[in-house]
Amino acid sequence: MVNYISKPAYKAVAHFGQITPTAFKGYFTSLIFWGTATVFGLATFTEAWPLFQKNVYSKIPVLGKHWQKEVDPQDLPI
Amino acid sequence: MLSRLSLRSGRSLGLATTVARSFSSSAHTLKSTYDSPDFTKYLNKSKGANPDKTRDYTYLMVGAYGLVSAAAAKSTVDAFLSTMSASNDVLAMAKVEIKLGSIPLGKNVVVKWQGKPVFIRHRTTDEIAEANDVDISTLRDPQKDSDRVIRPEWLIMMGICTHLGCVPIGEAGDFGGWFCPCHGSHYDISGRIRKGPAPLNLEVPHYEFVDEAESVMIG
Amino acid sequence: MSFYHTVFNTVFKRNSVFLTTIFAGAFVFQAVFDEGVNKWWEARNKGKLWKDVKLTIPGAGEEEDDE
Repeated sequence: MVNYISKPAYKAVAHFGQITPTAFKGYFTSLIFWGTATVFGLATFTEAWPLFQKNVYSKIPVLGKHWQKEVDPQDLPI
Repeated sequence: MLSRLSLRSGRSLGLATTVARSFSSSAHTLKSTYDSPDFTKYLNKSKGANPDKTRDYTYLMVGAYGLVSAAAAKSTVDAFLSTMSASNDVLAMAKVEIKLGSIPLGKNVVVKWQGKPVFIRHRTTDEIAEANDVDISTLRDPQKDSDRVIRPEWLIMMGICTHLGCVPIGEAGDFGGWFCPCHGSHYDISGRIRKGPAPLNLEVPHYEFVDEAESVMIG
Repeated sequence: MSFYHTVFNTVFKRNSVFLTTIFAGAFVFQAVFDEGVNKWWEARNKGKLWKDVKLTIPGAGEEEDDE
């Protein structure tokens, strides 16, 4: 007696919405690249923001000294 | 790229019937059987012409334009937004520093800060004890004296009555503190409302002591 | 592979990399341009700037009491 398989055994693939691991793997590289582009885009537009200047941009190795403000202590208001 | 170029030039010689589109590397367009126009006669056929160089140059120009546009857009936004920030003359008026050494024990001083009066009182130990002695549950605006001062000997608060904004008189009233002559609000030695129409205690501005409490910076 | 082909494949082929290059370039450009213009302006106005004038004013370091 041959054991026939009456129907295919369905298995649910783990997913988050429509995104399955396979689909995510396909998009992963692209997402990394676009993420980097977004970061630089935001950096361009927050360049003059004192909060970002103080915490992020002034700590960039060579270019950072552009955002480091050195005021002669004599010129500071009391 | 080269294979596609040769395919295209092959077509112009009548060797191929279908031509893949150039300038796209996606598999879809490579497989496409769509008969696209033949642009061979428009190609740069001068000696030493490099299609890669031409293409790089085009993209470089587009990129450079994008770069300058991004910087210009950011500068424009920045210019508009910076008009909303406080100018330096306003910032210079935002703080005031007072030397405390010249204020004797048990005396009031009124200073002007941002156009408003600020009371500074050098309190005696008796007055501090009196301020702490009050049962705060009986107060209209319950607040401990320690919540109203940083150093108990220095009471610093806005000199504006919380009723209708008159300037109270110092060392007056039923509770040895301040008295507002406009509608008769009495404040105690901690500036808390005790009697009269005012709803709240006198406001305490943000301040900090500098140079070992030699002076105080209001603002 | 010619030089131009390499450039195309590394920078222009992916739109995301192209855009990253543009924005990174814009970010660096802003800082460099700003620095450059400031340098030029300060060189042009040398002697008239506060940092130059300050040294020639006697007693500039002393505090003035205006209260």
